[in-house]
Amino acid sequence: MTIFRKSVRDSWKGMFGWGIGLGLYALLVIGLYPSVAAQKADYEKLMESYPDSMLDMFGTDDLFSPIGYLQSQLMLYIPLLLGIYAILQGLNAVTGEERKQTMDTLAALPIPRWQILTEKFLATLVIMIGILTQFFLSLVLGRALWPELDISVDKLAMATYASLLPIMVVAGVAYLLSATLPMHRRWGGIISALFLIGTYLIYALGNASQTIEKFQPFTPFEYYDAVKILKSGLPIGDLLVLIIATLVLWVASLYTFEQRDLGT
Amino acid sequence: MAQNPDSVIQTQNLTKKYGGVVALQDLNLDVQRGEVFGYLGPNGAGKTTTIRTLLDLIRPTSGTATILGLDSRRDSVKIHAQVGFLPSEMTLYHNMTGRQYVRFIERARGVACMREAEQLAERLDYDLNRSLEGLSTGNRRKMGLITALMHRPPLLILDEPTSGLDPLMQQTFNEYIRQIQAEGRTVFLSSHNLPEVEALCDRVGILREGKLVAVETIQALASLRFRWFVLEFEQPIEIEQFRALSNVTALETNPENTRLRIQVSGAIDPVIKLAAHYPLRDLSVEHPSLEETFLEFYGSNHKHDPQTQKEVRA
Repeated sequence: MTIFRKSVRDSWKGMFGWGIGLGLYALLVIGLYPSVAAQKADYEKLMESYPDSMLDMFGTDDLFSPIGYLQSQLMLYIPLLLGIYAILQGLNAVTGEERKQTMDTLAALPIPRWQILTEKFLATLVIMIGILTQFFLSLVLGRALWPELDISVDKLAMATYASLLPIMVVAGVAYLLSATLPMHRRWGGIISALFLIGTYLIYALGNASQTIEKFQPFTPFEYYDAVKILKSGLPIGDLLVLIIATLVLWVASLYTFEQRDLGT
Repeated sequence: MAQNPDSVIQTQNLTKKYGGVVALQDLNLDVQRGEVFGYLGPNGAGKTTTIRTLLDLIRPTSGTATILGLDSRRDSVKIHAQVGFLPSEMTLYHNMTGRQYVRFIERARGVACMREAEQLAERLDYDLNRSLEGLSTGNRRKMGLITALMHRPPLLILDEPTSGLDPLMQQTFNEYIRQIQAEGRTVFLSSHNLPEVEALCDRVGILREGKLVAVETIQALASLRFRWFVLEFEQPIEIEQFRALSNVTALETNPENTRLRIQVSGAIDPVIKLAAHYPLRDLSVEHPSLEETFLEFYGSNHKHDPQTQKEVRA
């Protein structure tokens, strides 16, 4: 697990940077909740003037309950934000090494290619868990400081860690592009970003548009619904879809990485 | 081609194409156990492509290669365990010290070799405790050599190993390679540096435009070398006298016949003696680059018989 250890070590600054950043943002959002809750009636009256389609984009019709507030102000954006970091991780895994010209030394070690990529993929998984753990601890701290956000810790843990799955689907896309497109980090980045933003928009707009709604099943975000998790626990079927999608992308990455010339 | 038990590297019609561009064509190479084999060729000839194909970093379009009796594709991991490799562009992880990098490679190889690395670093006058960020080309090369050699592999594949090393370190490197050879290990090195190749190698393979045009002993290669002499005279000279000399392979002059640029292969004594008949103003010598030597001796007007490994002037 030498490459795994090195990959984690290389990303520890990023892991704490993202974790602390998201954690502070979470505390800010939770810290505002008591005043939002206090003026719930006023806010609901204001929202009545908004078109329904706009409210649908938040994925909940109850924006001022603890769960609705947390979803619309925080959980909705976590897979999107961490998806960006997952793309960077995936692109660095192969094309980053090729661009830095360190891939030749790495691939000439007595380690099979599949193992190199798997160790890097596992490192990305651990780094994401590290970031989400910091985020989760911030939620617990925020809940302790502002008890108005009355959501159980186990539900917060479920909603937080389940967001790992759509993030790993995005990472899987970036790994696949990185392993497939030799040296073309720019194209890998553009396509991964289009995937992330495109599927996110389809998911968000699909809630408000019947035309777009039929494409929602093709987005990873469709299978991660924080409101559903915070209300009634883990939707195993949905999460299995994301696990399978991640595994398929990972196996496809291994296959293409095994086939192609390195550093060309 | 039958596998020769003494062959450490053996290729059979190894070919690599990038789209329509042929980088390596029908390479048949046989490197014997215990020899230092030089792989020569101008830039873009296919030296690095060969090395990267042997190590399975890139995949051949056709043909096969065996390294230490193992198939280069199927058994690449086993081969990597027994090979010390120095790439042509040695790039290191900037967030490590030399010692951390050695530890990383050591762990990845599963072989304890820090002591050997320390000894190598001492011989190469390199401080393993310094950061790898901002190293000079020479120091990156030293670090690469340390990690290529430290696990004492039976086969070393070195791509331009002394590029960027100062002359003193080149000398140390040469001594180390001789020591490796004395231990019965094999070295395959690519180089532009003819004196280095002459000093170290038993045989050389010469590559041009992706084709192996010759495999020669180092003695045969040395006999191919030529020089240009530039002679400036006080008065016009008889050009034909110089042209008639047997060692003169090319000749250029100015319209006044007072300046002579003459290519000499082998002994220079007849040229100097003839030039002494005229009042000489100046004399200078130009040593050709290896590339010029290749173009001269392995240009399009020359053919090579791979069976006899002799070159024939057309």
